[in-house]
Amino acid sequence: MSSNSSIANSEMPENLMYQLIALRDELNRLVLSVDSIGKIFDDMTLTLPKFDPSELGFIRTVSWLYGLYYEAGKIGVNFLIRYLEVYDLDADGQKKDHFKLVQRMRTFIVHNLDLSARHDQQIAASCQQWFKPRCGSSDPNIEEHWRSLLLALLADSIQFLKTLRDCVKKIEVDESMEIVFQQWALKLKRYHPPHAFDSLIPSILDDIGRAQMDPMRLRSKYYADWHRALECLNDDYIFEDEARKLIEFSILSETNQTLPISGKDIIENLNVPAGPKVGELLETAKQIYAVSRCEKLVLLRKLKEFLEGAGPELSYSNSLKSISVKYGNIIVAS
Amino acid sequence: MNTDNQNLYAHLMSNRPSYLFLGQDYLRLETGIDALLANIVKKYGTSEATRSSASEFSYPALLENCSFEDQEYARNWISNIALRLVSPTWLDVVSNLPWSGVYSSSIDTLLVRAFRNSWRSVQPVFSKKFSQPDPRSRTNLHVTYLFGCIERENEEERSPLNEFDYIRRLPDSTILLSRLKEQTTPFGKIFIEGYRSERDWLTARDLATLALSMDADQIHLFSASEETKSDPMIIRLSKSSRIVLHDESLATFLNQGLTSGQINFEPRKEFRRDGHYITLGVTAVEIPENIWAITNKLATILDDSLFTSPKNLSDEWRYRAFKNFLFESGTRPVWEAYPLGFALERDFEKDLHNYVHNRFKRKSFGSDPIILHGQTGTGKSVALGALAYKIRLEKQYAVLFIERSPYGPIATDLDQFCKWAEDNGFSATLLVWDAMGQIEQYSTLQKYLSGRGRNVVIVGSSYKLDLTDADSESLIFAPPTLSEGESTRFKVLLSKFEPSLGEQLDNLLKKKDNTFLVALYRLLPDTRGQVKYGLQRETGAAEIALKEQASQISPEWTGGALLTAFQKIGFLNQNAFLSDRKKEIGGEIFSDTEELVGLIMVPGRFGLKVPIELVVRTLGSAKAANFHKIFESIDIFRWHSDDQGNLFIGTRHPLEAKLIAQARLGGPKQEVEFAKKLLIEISDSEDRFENTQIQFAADLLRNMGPNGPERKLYANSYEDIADCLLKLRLERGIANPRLMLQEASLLREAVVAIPVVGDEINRRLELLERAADTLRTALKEISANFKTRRLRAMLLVELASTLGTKVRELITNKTDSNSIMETFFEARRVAFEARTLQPEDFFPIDVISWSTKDLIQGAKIDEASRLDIIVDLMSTLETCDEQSMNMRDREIFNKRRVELGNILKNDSLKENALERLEAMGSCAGYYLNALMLSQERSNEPLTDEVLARYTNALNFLQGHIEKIEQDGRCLFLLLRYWWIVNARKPLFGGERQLLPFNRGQWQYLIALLDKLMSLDAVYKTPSNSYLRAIATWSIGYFDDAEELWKDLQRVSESVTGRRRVAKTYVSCNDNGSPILYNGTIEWIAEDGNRGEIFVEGIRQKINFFPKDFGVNEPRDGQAVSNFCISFNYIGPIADPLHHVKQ
Repeated sequence: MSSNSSIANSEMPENLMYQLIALRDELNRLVLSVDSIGKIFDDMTLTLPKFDPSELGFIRTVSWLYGLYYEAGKIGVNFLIRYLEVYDLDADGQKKDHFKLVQRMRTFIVHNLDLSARHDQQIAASCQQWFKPRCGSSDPNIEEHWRSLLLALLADSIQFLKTLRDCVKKIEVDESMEIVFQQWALKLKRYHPPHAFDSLIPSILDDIGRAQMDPMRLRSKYYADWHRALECLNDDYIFEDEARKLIEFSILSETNQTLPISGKDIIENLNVPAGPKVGELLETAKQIYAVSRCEKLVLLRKLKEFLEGAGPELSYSNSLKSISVKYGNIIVAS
Repeated sequence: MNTDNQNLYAHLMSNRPSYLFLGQDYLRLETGIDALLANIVKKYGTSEATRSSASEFSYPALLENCSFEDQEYARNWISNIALRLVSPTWLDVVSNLPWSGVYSSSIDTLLVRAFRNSWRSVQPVFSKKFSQPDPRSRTNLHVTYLFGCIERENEEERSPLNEFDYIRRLPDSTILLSRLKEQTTPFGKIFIEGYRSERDWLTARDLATLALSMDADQIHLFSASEETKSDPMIIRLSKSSRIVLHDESLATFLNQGLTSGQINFEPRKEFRRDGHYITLGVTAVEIPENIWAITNKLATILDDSLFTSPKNLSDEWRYRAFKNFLFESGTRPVWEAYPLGFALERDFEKDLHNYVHNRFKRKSFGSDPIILHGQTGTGKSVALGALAYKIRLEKQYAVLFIERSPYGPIATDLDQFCKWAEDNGFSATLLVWDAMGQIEQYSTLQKYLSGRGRNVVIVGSSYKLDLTDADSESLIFAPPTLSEGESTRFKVLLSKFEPSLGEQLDNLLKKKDNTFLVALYRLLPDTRGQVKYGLQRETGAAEIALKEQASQISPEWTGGALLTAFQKIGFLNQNAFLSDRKKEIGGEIFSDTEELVGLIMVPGRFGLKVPIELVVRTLGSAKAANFHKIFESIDIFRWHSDDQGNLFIGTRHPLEAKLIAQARLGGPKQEVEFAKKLLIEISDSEDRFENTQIQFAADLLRNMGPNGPERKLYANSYEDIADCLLKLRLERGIANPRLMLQEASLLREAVVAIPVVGDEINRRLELLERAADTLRTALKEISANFKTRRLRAMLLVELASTLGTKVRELITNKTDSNSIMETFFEARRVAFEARTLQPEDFFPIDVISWSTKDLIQGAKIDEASRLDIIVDLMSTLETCDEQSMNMRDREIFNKRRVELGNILKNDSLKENALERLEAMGSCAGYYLNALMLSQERSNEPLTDEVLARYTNALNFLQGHIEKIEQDGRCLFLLLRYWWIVNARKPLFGGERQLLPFNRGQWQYLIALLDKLMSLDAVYKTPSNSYLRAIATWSIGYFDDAEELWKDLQRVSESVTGRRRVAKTYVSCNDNGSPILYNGTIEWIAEDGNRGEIFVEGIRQKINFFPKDFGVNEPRDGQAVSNFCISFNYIGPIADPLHHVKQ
């Protein structure tokens, strides 16, 4: 977004932040009348950033904006961004770029990047590309640099929220307003915030006898996976049922025992080439071990029997399916 | 873990076709309400009851319960609603994958938006009429709407809004659905989501039609509802695995794959257009998206990501990676293997590397390409990959690698890449093209690129060549056996994988087995641990086959190995589609399985891959339905896909294919039968895959012809193959000019290859006449335009060759000289016509040369006519530019000149011959007289004595100007001699030549050129036009000169080499010193690499290149002093004085 730094420099960051908050509140008011939506931005527990010194001000502002866009406004902002194209409000793509930049900037300033990894390289490059025209350096290191960047970021975010506001106003007068709000409401309905899981985890832990496990640690570790899995479900799912399945699966993954053999043992002892088949055999070993714990050599022998039982005339894929059932029966019988 | 799911994940991550089908319920999946449908019913429902239950409606019900009186308005309204639809979250997940294509029964355009992203464009297909050149492209995704689209107004593209329109649309939707089957091929899978048979315009019966035409396990239906699962049709399809039902949603399935690390959504490197870098010295230069997009289609750009540091590999994984390298590297470079040191460096690679470096150092970019030649299986492809890798490691040059493919590279696109590289500081580009092709294709590309001033060195590969005169730095031979040094190095290399491996292979290495490099893959066991128990024994058959010559192979082994393999996969049991029923092909008995093997191995021995559609059609759909299982299980076969998603089946290595073909098929005759089976099934022009199949056919024919690697092995069958092409043309209506060219060529070669026996002359003449007629028909078929110029020239050259061959046959048959002369003159006329189209092509000249030689040595013609014809040939050869020829043409050219010299030596001019020549109206006598006066010898230093001889000859010609002024041969000779005498240099004798001509001389030159070029199109060459432009400029007619240069630029676009950009002449005074000019910069291109200078005095704007002047930051109005003006085919260019002095 072309934040005009010469204009922005004449401003105080506090003034820009007030404008930003005013816009956030205006956006919330605009959709307040739609019952099914309520408001775009939830309340934030993050305190407003302090801007002095500018470097810290910039870092705090990035975190605050991340909280605003990606947490408090997670559904609404994401939803409205899709409509910028429909109403031709972001022809040059700068608003979307700002939205993405806040996320990347947060990663850039908060995490230790691995610059040999392409993903991290891209994050660093896009942040540095944003720095350079706004403060004159792609490696800001003096107060002036940081102040310029802080003002530019705030100016960009004001433009971003103004555009979201314009978008809501366009929806309001659109003939298709109803369908748009319907879709928004449905997105909200399918969103399950972390606390929705928090209320389920303790009772599940009790039910399966894992009461000593820390519910918060479990949720922090697996929430992203659970959230993504629920997003992929069709409409007829019942949150409590599906969430329970996901939570229980995660608990069991946490409590799995280490196998007495490794992939290396399979390669060396069973002459299986390195690759997906080793993974398949480890899975089989896991199933065998879960039912009947045994020592390394016994487990390897069982795996070998399993392999030999497959017979040379059958392919791995076919044999694995049929034999694993058969082997499963033997174990159960034993 | 579910193995079936694992297979599906593996499929999705492979290059095999993966199609997505979205049913009309797809918008309901996320929320249970299709917002679009609900709103339509709400507005257009015919009753209040309908409108109030809008959210329950399905598309079939829509047609019954809604009324759209004003369709245009309704379409606008619905389109507007559709535009407000937001992609469901699950679709965001699903659209991450690089699908081969999307089909849908839905009617909104949300899909187009949902699938478009930074690395993928979307091509919607609404109608059966839309032609799809790249239907499986993953970066230009085709979204096919079976029932059209609500937004469209055209009758063929719009979706139905009532039952009658729906019925009218059904035939089109059936045709579009049949494309899904074709495009999926037996190798692919279809993933269905959002489909409920009771709620879709695509009925369960329609789906069954598709499913029954495909193999089991190819169609997977996700989010299978209870209603769908209880549909009797679906139940039956499910029982036979024609449709595999999944309860979970496709997004959930993909998400599980993502979580378990079996799939990822990162766009593949080759799809991404941004973020590609090439390091120059210490700076990473980013490749612009457009340059990446166009170049990546043609070639592998050796960018920084190609050689990422190898990870810490386990010993086992290294061994597996090495085996994979052996498997793959015969056909394409395995780039990750080079940093790991897997490639054996052969001795010739040092020379190859040095020669490339010499070219770079000497800036010798107009030379012949460097050709690495040798028989198949000698490590050429690996060596070329290593060369590309090593040169790129130096971080000084840009490097492109082009694999062997059915399509040649597009020269204009390569030009753009090379120019970008030069503009960004790379001093040159190395272009490695492993086409195993003819020298001409490399030379043509080299000429094109150097003609545009590109600093590029081309290295190509070829079968073994027999050239004696080639520049030693242009031709490198790859010996078939390993030297002592190579064997030692290889042992060391192998021992790194398993200490005993080198020793175990020692005996084989000592045997100097020329198939060893290819056989090694089959010798190594699957795991490193097995090496210590000995080399592969169970595939001993393969070992034997690759070790021994084909003649020694027992035919049973391959059958045995394949048979075992087929049995292993249950291929030959009662469920197999391919039976072991025997049939006769070319007099031998083959089973269906063996037929399939033959169809792949015959083209495979030439490194050719067969388009999948052609294999399916040739085998017949019933037999083809299951054949992909063979390819999945036997590593003799390989399948490939190009960047457009076209699929091909080939072999692991041409050498393996050759051995198997020799052992299994019984000989050339049977191989031809298999080739014919493929050729006769080439698809017609309506087929969307035409180009691929025509290209395949042309390649196969060329390889089986006399210019292929097997020379005349198939000569006895040339006529047979030509008959097959005739049948294709007459019975199947495929009259493709490229195939007709091959047909005619085979007929002619059939006559050439087989000696005359008894009284077969009439039969031979018939074949030649048939060939000529075929070519004439082809010439009539294609319109004359710039695009067809080259093909027309090739057809004309072939016609001239055919007529020349006919002359030879007529001479042998002692036919009367009138018929012979008539045919000869027609051959010559046709050859000249070809030359007019391709002025720098040597083929027409060669045809004229050998047919003239045949004529004057064999035909009974009078002395004067004979001399006239000789002079014609001499003059024709003089118009050739030897420097612009490739090494093979140059060799033939010089051979022809020697032959001509010998003829003249033995042919003392009889006293009255010149008189008789004049009497018959020929100027050949003047030509010969002038030649005798000059005693011209090529490359003779121009001493005063020599110049005196040329002056005599010139005076002689000028003295008889009234007699010779209508004779192009004599006028061209006069031009050359005039130039030598006045410039004291031969024409085009070097770069930046100074011409001490006065105004009168320039004007004389203009008059001479005008006269010459008006006599015959043969003299309207780019070089003559160039001289005319310089002369016009030199007498001050700048505007006229500019017009001439504009024409010259256009004409020389595709025909000239380095000379096009070489600054051959410099503007100078009549005393021979360069004229110095001053000027100011008038304009600079955005990239700062070129611009224009306004030249004081002559008040003209001319091109200039700031880099030539060392100007780093040129700006408008900046003064430039004391420069010269040089000329190339593009126009006058500002040239620093020191360049001219050098």
